[in-house]
Amino acid sequence: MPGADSNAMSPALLDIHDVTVAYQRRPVLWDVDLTIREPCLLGLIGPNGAGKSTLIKTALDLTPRVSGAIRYFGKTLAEVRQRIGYVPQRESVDWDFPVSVLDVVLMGTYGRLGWFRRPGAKEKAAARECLDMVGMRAMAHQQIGQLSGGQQQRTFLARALAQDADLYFMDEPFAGVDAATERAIFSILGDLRDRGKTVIVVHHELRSVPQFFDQVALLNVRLVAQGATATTFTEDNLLKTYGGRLSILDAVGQAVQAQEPTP
Amino acid sequence: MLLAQAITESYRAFWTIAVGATCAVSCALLGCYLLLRRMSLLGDAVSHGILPGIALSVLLTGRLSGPLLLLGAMLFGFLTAYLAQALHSGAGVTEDASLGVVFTSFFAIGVILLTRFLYHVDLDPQCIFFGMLDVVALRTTIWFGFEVPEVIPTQLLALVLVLGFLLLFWKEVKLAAFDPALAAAMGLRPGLIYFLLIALVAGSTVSAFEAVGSILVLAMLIVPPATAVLLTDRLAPMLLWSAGLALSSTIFAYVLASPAWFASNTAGMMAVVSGLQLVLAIFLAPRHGIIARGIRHFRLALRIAVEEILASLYRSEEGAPTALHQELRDHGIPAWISRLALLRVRSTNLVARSASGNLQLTAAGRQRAEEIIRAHRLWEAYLDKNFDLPADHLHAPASRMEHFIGPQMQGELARQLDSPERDPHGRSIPPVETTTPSQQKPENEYQ
Amino acid sequence: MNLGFTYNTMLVLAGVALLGGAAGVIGCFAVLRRRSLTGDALAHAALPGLCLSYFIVGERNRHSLLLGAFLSGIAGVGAISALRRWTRLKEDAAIAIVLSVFFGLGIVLLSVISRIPGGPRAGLESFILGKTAGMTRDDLGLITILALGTLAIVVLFYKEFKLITFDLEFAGAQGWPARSLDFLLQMLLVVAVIVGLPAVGVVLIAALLVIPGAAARFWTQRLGTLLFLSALFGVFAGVTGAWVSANLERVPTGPLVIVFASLVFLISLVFGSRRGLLGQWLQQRTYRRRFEQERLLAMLLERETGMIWINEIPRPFGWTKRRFRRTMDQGVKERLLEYRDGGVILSHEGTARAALVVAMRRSWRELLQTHPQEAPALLRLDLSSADAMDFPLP
Repeated sequence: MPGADSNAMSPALLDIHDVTVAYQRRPVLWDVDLTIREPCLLGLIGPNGAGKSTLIKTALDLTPRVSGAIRYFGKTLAEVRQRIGYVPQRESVDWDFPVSVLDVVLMGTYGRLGWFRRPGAKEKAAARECLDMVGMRAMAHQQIGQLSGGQQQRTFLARALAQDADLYFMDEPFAGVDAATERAIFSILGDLRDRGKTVIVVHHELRSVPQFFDQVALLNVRLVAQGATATTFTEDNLLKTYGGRLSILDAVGQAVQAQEPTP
Repeated sequence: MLLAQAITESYRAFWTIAVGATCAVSCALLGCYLLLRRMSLLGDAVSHGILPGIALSVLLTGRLSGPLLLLGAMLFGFLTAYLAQALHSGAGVTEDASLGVVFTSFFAIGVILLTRFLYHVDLDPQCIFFGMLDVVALRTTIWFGFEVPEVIPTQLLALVLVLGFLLLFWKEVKLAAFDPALAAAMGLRPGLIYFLLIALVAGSTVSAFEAVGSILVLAMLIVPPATAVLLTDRLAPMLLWSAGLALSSTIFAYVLASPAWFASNTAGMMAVVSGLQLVLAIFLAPRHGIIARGIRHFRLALRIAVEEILASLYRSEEGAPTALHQELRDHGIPAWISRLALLRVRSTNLVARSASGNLQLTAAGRQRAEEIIRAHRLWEAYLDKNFDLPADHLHAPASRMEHFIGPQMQGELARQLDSPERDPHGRSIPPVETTTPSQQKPENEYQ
Repeated sequence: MNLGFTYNTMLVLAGVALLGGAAGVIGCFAVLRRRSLTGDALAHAALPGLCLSYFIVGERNRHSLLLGAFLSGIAGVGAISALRRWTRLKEDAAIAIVLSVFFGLGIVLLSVISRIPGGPRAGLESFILGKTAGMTRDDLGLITILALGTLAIVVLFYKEFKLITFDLEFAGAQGWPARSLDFLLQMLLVVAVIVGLPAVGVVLIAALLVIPGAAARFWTQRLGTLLFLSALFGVFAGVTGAWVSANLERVPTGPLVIVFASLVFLISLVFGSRRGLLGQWLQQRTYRRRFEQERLLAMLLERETGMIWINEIPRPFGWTKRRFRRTMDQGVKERLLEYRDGGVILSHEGTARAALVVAMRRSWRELLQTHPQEAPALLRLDLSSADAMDFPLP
């Protein structure tokens, strides 16, 4: 049962219970349970279309759920929004927009500022610090359309850092980024974890998983497995996640979508 | 005399409708392509952007018809599309802004030309905006020995050209319909087809404009195809529907706009009638319409409710406590459908009243219930085997899925699970009766 | 030409100028949100509301006419969303449908009203073309409220509007009521359309909403400056259009304003400092010339004789003799090359520069190989900035 049997001392950092998300009657996420009790760097792994982005989006109330409950630090999202950071996918943004790198990072501070207040010297200093952390200080006044892929990603990361959150969701932050930038970003994420933050990263590439994540969650519409990388990121589990044993699931899912029984 | 009057009336009606219908149909056919290629607003832009061309040719010829009109308009129509495309690809202006900049500027120039220089020409600018369908039958010319309205030859030409385009480029049009992703990947490429399309849109706009004016052409271009796309999933029927809707909207509009009814402008009425057709289609369309969807949902909910009732009767026979109303609520089935389902079940031969007055399964009912229970428990077993779910998480998904797992799928599940006899909770899974009439087909292997 | 400034002229000038400014600012956001043509749709959709209120209240009450138009416009916005949400029709089709059907309805209502004795005669014409000549103090008042209101709201919600226009999803994740803010922006658009309709007419208010914003993009990449320039361009177009129209006969103000707005757009397109065509072309030319010069320097360095004849046409380059000659002359002018014995050789400075060029090319090739994704950023480096940075030379 949600929350009832969790540690009575301190609530879980993140408690996703029984979450089902359907799009036009087709289940995209189905009865997903995910609990995080300690700060970690968790990789969310699964094939394309497996619902990884959807899980993050529904955790942030950006996509409606059919069922399920999600709690952060024992509270609802609305109560602790300021403590949750988000790095969305790069494609979701119009890179031709007339803002500079610094402007984008400052957007991370907007939540703290609230209505109508403008970012002041304090926020700008904090933003510059975040840019320093990702190594983009020199490009602060460039318009974002002039950046390369890795630089765009780092800008988004800096924006998330500027949110100064306790728990971060990151959606494919390493897509289209070169190895050196990848390493740099991971070291920042590791830093965050060491400082007691939780970082949940949707990751698309399997090779680097053991190297970078201490926890993994394998997802393919259902949560296949979750736990420490060493014990959970096994061939067996990977086969279950990526393997073709789910053709029955496919067929039944299609039947539900078509609202007609299978033959 | 009354007869002569009647003949003149019907002559006028016929030609008015003919003119309106010809241009409506050619626009509707062309509009199918625009709609599928997400170029509807290009139709908006072109129909506004041709104004300077019209103004110039009217200035030169003094008439609101003729080949020069067509040419001038087509030229500016093409210019509109071309310049918008150039702005977009050459100067990085967004697609919609490029259209906006070009066609509004052209329109402004056209308005200036018309109002400033047209006062010595016998022309009412208002015609340009909402056409002169109501008087078009009066100006006639001789064509192949027949007396026809002046505009008919141009319009028939436009119609023939549109049909020709569709026949010649059938494959391209089909591609846009069936594989919009691929068509979108091809994008707005300059090329023969794009060039022809723009020319045709401009040409049809002009010939239609003589009937309904430049602003309402858009209605004829987009609304009938939009209605048609809700009524069918295939291209050829869509074109036929568009043409038919365009024709019928002209006829209805003529009637409704006549003095006997609303006494208004026919062109505007055509747009309104088309709009009403669209609204009707949104509700009544056989597959995508709101009513059809509602009926589908209702029938599904009813079926699920009936099956739940049967399943719960079976479970109570097994001695397990049932929570029928809870189950139904979990499925999101409203109370009134549940009641309806109860009535329905009682009317079939699947249940009967027992001595104490409760409902009881008949033999036929038990069979049906067993199918459902089988699906449920096989699914629980499947989930249990392949996913690490706690025991209390098996029932809910299974009771959702049981209604969608047919006999063949059940067989496949049983096969994959090595024909289990019990579900994860230890309850028995009803075996398949091979001698029962419901299993007519021999159990096929996994196909 | 009558250059007089009558009271009426001043009124119209002020009104159209303010309208241009307000429309410029609101339109800027619309263009950034890819909603450039929604203004056109809204303007067309206002007609039925206008007619209905006339029907109900009569021409006396200008304000209720505007209210009717406003409600009709909102109905249009609602219809577009409804079509998108409930059917498989896409956004562009929804806009086109609402635009044309509402307008058709308006025309039907208008023709019905015209038959009523005392109904408006030139109703349609003034709707399409606008009727600035009839602008009253009341109208000016309304426009002023619009302009000031827009300014106030944009200043107040500047960072919120910036956020949702740029990244709606992130805004939602941060907890902002993103949809409501977006709705506020759309309401501003509706109000601008309704207030501007009587002045400049239907298609032309759409133009005022698109053209200044689009023109301003050629001058700046900063949102604040963009908004300011859009307003400026809008005001300029309004003032010049109104002034010229007052002094020419029988030319309506609305279209003239648009013509001037388009002129501003054309000028921006060509001469704009950020993305203007002229600037791009010049930039390309400069880059190409420097590129050619570097090749020449590198070639000279690698030659054994260290010399190139003036009349030589190096085959691998595929240059014309003229181009070659021009590059040589430029090199001499910059003292990188010297004329000697019928040919050119590297000067002292030229030799140093050539060595740097060759080394840089080698490093670039290596960098591009190991960091292909950084290519765009790397290629923006040019010789001068490479001098400033510590470039790893082999």
